[in-house]
Amino acid sequence: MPWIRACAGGELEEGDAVVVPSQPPVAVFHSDGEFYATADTCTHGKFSLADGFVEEAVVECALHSAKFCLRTGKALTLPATEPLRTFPVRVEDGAVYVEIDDAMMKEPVS
Amino acid sequence: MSLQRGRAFADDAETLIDRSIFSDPVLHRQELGRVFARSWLFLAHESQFAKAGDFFTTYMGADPVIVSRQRDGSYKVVLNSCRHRGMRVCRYDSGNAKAFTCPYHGWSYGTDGALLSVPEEEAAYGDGLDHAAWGLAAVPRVETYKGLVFGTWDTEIPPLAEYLGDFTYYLDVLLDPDGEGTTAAAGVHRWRMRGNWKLGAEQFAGDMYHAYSTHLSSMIAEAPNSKGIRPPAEGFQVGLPGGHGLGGYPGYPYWHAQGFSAEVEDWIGNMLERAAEHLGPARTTGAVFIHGTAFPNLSLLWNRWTLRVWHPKGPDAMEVHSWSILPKSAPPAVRRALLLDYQRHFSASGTWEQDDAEQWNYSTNGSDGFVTSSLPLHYGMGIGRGPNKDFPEFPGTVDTVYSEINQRHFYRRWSELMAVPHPAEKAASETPASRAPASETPASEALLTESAKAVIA
Ligand code: FES
Ligand code: FES
Ligand SMILES: [Fe+2]
Repeated sequence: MPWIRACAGGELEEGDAVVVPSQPPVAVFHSDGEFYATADTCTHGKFSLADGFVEEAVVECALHSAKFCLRTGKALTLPATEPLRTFPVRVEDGAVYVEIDDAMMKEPVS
Repeated sequence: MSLQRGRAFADDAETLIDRSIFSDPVLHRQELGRVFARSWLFLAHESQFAKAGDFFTTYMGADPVIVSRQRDGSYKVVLNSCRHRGMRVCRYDSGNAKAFTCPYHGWSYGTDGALLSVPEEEAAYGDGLDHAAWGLAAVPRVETYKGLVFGTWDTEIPPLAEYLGDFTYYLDVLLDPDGEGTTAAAGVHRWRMRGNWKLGAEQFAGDMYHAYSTHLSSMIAEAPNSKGIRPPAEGFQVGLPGGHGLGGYPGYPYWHAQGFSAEVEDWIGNMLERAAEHLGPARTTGAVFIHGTAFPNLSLLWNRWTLRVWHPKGPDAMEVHSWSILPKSAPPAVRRALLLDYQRHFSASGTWEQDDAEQWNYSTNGSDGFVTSSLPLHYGMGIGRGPNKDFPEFPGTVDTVYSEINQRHFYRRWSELMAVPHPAEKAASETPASRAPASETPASEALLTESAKAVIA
């Protein structure tokens, strides 16, 4: 399965996130010095979680405040009940990579 | 008295004002469309929006709006009213947001107004909800002038700079004194008071006359031995096309009577010298502008470094939003002193503010009496006196300091706009109820008073 470069590690400030434009999109978060990758789309109402608020490895959706664990993808609060898929992340030469399915590759990947 | 063709004046010479313009609810409804929806309205200062998603909530006439900065740096202004049941989607004065989620049923909108997400959409609407058609209504035109953000619903009026016209010659002294620009002090003051909004707007446009009566006790309190500012006889009022107006005094040592510390006085003196180089002496060292109004509801006090908007809240109340605008070049100690000076005089708790509020309250309060409303008010000060030739460089019609020329300009513009119905008024009168079969129709016709019908006709 392909490893995709998400961003340079230094680009992503604490509490920020970037979207990997795969199909469906993946969000890479920086929280408490760690990087995490989950599905970007909130399981409640289809909003980008990269636009949410990140604290202590939890993301809160900006629309209706559903919270998800970034480590496990678990839905922690209503209105979300379905978990997020999580993806492996590794940091190499100062860049952050995320591993996604072949089928998620979109042409062209930027 | 009955208002003739939407005119504010009760006589042909335009020296008398019909008091119903301060109290009539039908005129007030018309004013929201004919005046507010047809003018450029001040919204906010650009320094309130440092980054994308920063927003500020305010009004355009009676319509609540959200002003926000977009990712491309532009400003977007949308109605702060959900398309589902009309709930306010943003209940904060200001902040930063990725999206606005309506608290009622949870519809979410982008800061640009686009409908993003509807909870339980499939179960609730299937695929029957057209997102493109149900976003928050966006104000079609938003423009800035030297840090000030304005919006208008009118797609046909001239661009902002042209609309402001020669008022910008004077406005620049506050907004661009030395080429370095201004920032708004953090925190916009908001308060509501009794009184028709036009009384605030017209007073700031042209009334220096009230100062030594209305504000006398404040002046005495500030200068116990009556060594305060004395009224120089030779000030000016300037009336401008479009209903704008302002007034002030020649460059007498005004600033030195303000009670600032030597440090602040020095800085002001120095700034005025720099301003004279930047803008020329006529409007900097040569004159001090005090009060002014850009039609319809943006008012300024140059000498207190402040500007404000009067938002109508029905015919007899208003909500004021007030900013302290300070030159970027001012050092922290000077900023503090100028901010304090503004707050002491013209914030909600300001002494001068409260002096004025009392007048507007009781002027309006008396306007809906049966006999009071049959008697017009005197707006004839300065008629027949001829122009003031002491300020040849000033654009506009220059009159002496005690003249109501600017009030007359203001109401002439107001009357021009009020004489032409807004196209949306027709749509509003053709409500579904009035088109429904007779059995379902409430007696709405009968509820219209005769005078209301006359004005609508
Ligand atoms: S869309 Fe994320 S909580 Fe509703
Ligand atoms: S009123 Fe806004 S979602 Fe129902
Ligand atoms: Fe006043």
